[in-house]
Amino acid sequence: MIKFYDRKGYSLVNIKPNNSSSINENMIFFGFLGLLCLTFGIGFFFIGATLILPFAGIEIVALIIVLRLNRSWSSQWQKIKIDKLYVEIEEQKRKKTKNKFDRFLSKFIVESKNGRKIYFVNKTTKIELGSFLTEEEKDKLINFLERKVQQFNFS
Amino acid sequence: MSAVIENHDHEHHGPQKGILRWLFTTNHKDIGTLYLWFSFIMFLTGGAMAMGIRAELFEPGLQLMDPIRYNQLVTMHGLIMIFGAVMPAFVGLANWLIPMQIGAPDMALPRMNNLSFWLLPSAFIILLSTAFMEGGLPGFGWTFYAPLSTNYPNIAYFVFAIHVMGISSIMGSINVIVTIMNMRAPGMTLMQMPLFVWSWLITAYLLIAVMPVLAGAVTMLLMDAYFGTSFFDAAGGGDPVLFQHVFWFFGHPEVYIMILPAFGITSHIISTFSRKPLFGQSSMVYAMVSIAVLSFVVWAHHMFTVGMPLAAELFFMWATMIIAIPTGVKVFNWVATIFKGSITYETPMLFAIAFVVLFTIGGLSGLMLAITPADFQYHDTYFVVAHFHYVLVPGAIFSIMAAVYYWLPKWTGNMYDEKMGKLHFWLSFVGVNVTFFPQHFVGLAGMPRRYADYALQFAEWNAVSSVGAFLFGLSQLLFLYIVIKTVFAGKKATAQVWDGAEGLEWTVDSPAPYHTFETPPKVNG
Repeated sequence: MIKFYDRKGYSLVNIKPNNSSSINENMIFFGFLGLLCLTFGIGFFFIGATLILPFAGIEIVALIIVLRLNRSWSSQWQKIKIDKLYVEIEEQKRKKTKNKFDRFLSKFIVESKNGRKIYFVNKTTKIELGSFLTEEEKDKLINFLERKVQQFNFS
Repeated sequence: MSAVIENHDHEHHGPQKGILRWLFTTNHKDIGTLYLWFSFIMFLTGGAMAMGIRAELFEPGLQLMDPIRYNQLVTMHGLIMIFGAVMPAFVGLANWLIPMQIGAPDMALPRMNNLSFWLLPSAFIILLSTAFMEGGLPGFGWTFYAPLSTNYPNIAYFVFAIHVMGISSIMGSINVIVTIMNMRAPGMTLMQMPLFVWSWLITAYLLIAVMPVLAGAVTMLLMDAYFGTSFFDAAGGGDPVLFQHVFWFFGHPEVYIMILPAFGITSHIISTFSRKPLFGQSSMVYAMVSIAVLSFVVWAHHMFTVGMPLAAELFFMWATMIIAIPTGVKVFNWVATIFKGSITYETPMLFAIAFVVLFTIGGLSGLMLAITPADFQYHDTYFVVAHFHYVLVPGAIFSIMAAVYYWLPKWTGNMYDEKMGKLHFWLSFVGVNVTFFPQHFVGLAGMPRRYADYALQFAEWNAVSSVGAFLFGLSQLLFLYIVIKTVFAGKKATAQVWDGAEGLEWTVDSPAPYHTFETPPKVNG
């Protein structure tokens, strides 16, 4: 998902991965499934089939791993703010980071090796932008960045 | 700041060439194809074993094999058909269709998808390798009841193979759930999902819920065999009936795992060839959810004769009968969809109609078996064999064939030969009924299952049944020919293929491009 905002003196892009279910919905869905496995494991434990419980445990661990992966994917976002002097990139991946760069020493590049990737480059810093976007959204992002960079260069 | 972005032309990388494409592919279509071919090879293997069984039963007495070999064939036929043919075929269809039906570019966890497929042939190589060992193939039936199975010399290989199959199933199911939950096209709510997707969501839920039970059961067998425990050995204080409870707690939902996706497929096909929207889409979803929930509380109807309290017998009898209600809702909805539709009878529709009729016959004999006092009479007779084959062959397998004919033009870009398809249907239809319907008669007359020999009074119907089995078996070679012919040649298919077809998969070209829906389509409610 990609949204563009043009404000007075700066432009902003918000990007997030497309998700059809919220984190809470996923937690309810996977949580109920884990609970079901645990109930079966405990039930069989008390009637003497004790070795089902450890396997239920392993499966719950697998479900938790998937849920965490899913959550880290769903909760990532990036905000790119461009004005005449600076480019500010705020992002949430594993942790939240916010960096401000001098616009005149920066550039946006697109690499087409193994699929198309968009990078922001400043001196030794290289940040990938919108790795989770679809191709059409990447096109939109590239067009927007191209336009804005030109606009601020000539303003 | 650089005003020009160094933009290179964006190109899709196509599939790799040669064997590497199939070994390392993470593309859902490739993996779906691998699953489908694997399941077809296993179907022919398990089918060849069935031919061996029917050849032996063609007349009374021992003709071709000793009883031990016969039991090995029966066991491997069951295991291969369930875990190698039916389940992987549905997983293959899920891989091909779920991303395309929900507008996703691929499965959510593509590398895991590749691994979950390649574990499957490995598991069957382990299982079949016991044929070359002392002690041979397992011969204790697909239910591997303890303590019979714990005395089998190669039990460790059997257990390891089941574990590997289980890991593959769990990975596949998690992938299906994550894909459906997170990768639906914008605007597609849960209730707007196609019924095949719904049926797979419920199936994946069931699979994940019961797999620890299967894993625990086989591990306890291994412990009893090698580590001196007595979970199921009465001599050591264990309980053999406990194994049956554990097994059927897994086994009954497993039956629904093999039939729920068939419900989804049939719904799509009947709606398409009746040129009407499906009658009662949401009631179909609720019916499938009800069937899945009820599948957890009916397991003991497989074991009425082991002896259980009257209250338990009554509970399991009634719980089993209640399943007829949501199943009846589904049959009613399919018939209501057909009613006053502009029906045409292409091959997928013929298979779908046969599914509805013959699956209902299988369901009715299931109701007869659910009646506890009657089950004491029918238990372990050929009536049970007839019942579950009516559910699984014209049920699960006919629906898979219907699905292949229905979506084959989308996969290959070519139309199959309609005349040959219809010939295949009629040969299969006649073959199935000639094979399994007489088994009701011999079962009611008292012929027990899992024996290589039988009393003279059952000879005529067994001969008929064997002739039907050979007809059905040989007609599958025609199916193979039709599929291969369609892959390489045939009239070019349009994107929509069938004029009544609706759904996102029909909006992409035929054959479906290697990458589809990289940009999610917008679905309007």
